[in-house]
Amino acid sequence: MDPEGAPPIEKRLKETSDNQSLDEGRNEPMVKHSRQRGIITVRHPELCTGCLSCMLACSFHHCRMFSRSQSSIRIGKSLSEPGKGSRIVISLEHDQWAPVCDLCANEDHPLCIGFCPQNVFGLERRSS
Amino acid sequence: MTDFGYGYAGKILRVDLSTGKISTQPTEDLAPRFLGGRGINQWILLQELAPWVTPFEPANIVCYGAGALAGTLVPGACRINVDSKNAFTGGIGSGSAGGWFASELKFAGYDHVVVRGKAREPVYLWIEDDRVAIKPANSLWGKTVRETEKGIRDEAGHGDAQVLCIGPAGENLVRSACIIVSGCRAVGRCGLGAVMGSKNLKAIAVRGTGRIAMTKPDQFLSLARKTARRLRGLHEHQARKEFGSFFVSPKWNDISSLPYKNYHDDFIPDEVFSRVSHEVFHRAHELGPHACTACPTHCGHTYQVAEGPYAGTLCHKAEANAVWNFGGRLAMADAGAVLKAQEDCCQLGLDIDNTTGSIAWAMDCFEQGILSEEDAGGLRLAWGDHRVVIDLIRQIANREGLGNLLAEGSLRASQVVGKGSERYAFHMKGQDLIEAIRAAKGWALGVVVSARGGAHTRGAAVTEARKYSEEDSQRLFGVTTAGKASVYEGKPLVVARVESICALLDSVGVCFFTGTWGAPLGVSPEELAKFCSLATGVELTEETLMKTAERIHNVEKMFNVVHARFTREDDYPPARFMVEPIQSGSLKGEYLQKEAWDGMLDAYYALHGWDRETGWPTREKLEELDLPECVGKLGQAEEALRSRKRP
Repeated sequence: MDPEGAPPIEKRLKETSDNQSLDEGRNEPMVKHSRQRGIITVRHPELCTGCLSCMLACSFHHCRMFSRSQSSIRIGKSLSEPGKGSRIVISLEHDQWAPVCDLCANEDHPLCIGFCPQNVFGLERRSS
Repeated sequence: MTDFGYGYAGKILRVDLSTGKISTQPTEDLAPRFLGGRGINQWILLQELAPWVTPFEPANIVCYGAGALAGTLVPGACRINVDSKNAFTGGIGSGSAGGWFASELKFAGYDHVVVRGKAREPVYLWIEDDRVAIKPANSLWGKTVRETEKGIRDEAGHGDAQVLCIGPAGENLVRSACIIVSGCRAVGRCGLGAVMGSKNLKAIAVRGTGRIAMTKPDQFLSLARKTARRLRGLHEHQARKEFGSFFVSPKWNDISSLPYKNYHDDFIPDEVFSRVSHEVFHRAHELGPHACTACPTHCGHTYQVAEGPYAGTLCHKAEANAVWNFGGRLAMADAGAVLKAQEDCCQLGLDIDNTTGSIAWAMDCFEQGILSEEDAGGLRLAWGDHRVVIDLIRQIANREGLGNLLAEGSLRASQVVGKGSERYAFHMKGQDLIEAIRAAKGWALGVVVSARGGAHTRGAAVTEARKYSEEDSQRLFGVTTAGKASVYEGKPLVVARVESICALLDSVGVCFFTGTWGAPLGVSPEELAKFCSLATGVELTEETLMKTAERIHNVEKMFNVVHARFTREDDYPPARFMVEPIQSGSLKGEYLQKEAWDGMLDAYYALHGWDRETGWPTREKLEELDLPECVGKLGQAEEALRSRKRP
């Protein structure tokens, strides 16, 4: 990939705003989630870059602020294990160390899925 | 909370290593005028550091500042800025790094850490929310960056603590020592690692459990989501995801703007360049990516040398600078050796730009017969010999043999050696130069007038290497020439605009690569104003934010006026670049014409409202920027300058 010969700004603005592939998997109507309807899964931990965006977005859901401790997601990115992504843990039980994942109840979409630039997370639906 | 309480952690932590005293002050004392990060750091330095204090004295101050937006989901808001007195120039020393430290510092409750004094023995600073302690670091002294990180985490029992530290080079007061953040990201140039070493401060480690609040959280998140999605689609971000910043090197070589053999030329020949190209690193050596906090790009890539004498060496971060420095300036045509040299510098805490500057000087002097094999401890300092380079890196970090001389930088080394060796020391204001600047005139102006002593992270625009179209140029800078390398006209305007953008990005803590420095459609000043408004609750426009950025840039300039007395004569490129043309490449024959340079300087000073003769801010400009405290300092400096000029 090389930006050599990139088109003018106006055209590129249109291209990027029209780029629907960016939103792939993120625009499904999932208003008012509940855990009975599914579960967040870590599909591709090997792709995780450790940017912590999911963790920050998750804490935002829980407290409308950004925090490491108020997130249901823990990211362990170790440079000593290159090429292996990250260790990712999601809090699913009430007796665990952090707020429990509620699939972003009352948000439009699960925020971790929306903010992850690597499509690490997925939503596994449960049939009712 | 009051204005500017939101978005910030809220406190500035102050530590005196001589007395052990630890205290705090509210960030809101300084945030309205100087935002955060570099802005607040440099204001503290200008106000509190006496001009006669030298870089390695206990009285020197070093400020660590997380950007105002760090710790949030603004794309690329991950930067920690470190500022102190420059170990090379005596003027401002300033650098920044990404990683995961800045957000953690804010979660611990602090926007800045201000350190003064000197500990009696090696120490590190441990910050865990409101529990701050100065801890012994005797067992860490002499250790590499990796060993230091591990040692601190093991002792703390927290594998997730974030560490900023120095290597042996900083301990040994090597002027090219840097600070390494999150294991592999360097706060480079200006000898800031040596300043930490002079204070016996091995590291700062932090762990935070607090929160960053926004006044309008939902709107803030919505804008962050929209901005991140746009960035993910940009050409530049796709390229950095794949190749890191290596991808820019061919563009610079295409316009004859990469140094080769200590500026014998500004073009790396194909037989060398093809062996250190971005594709070689990517295909032959890459293991996987890593990103800083809140970055959708992940320009970080871990490499493992695949074959040859350094096979198996891991290198967690290498920038385009590694190609310019090792591949270009030292002519090392071996990507594996480049990665080995880069990793050794990282683990020893050496800035690669300054380190290769003095090694290139030594190799040039060896070729000219000024330095002998005996001077070099039996080494033949031949261009491209990676074994020699790697040996010299170790010698410099430990101040052994010839390394003890090279640890001072090429200018000081040449002053010791004499014999005409000054001719081969390329520096700006006393600090080694790494950029090739004869072809691209805007790049050159930005590098040369940089207050931190060269370096392209102030006003040097990447517009020429990227060949910005006239439309992009007009839209972003108000001139059509930003993308035309050999044109002088319009470049002062481009540089002045980029300086403000850089000051803004450094102060809000957003990476240059996600900002408009690295991509025309990156996070814009207008968007940063919206983010700051939604975070703090204080209505800020692009205009007010850019005015703040200009204020910060003038504070930096005033530091140099007060502490180093740099004037117009320090804003000229090395003399050889004004008479010796480039030998090859597409812009063969280009050099910097003296008259044209004078014209650019006149226009540049006029745009800033600075004095044409001295290049210093005027009283009127300082008052316009709401910097009345600086007027008295300027008067004293002007009086001192007049006395110096008196016969």
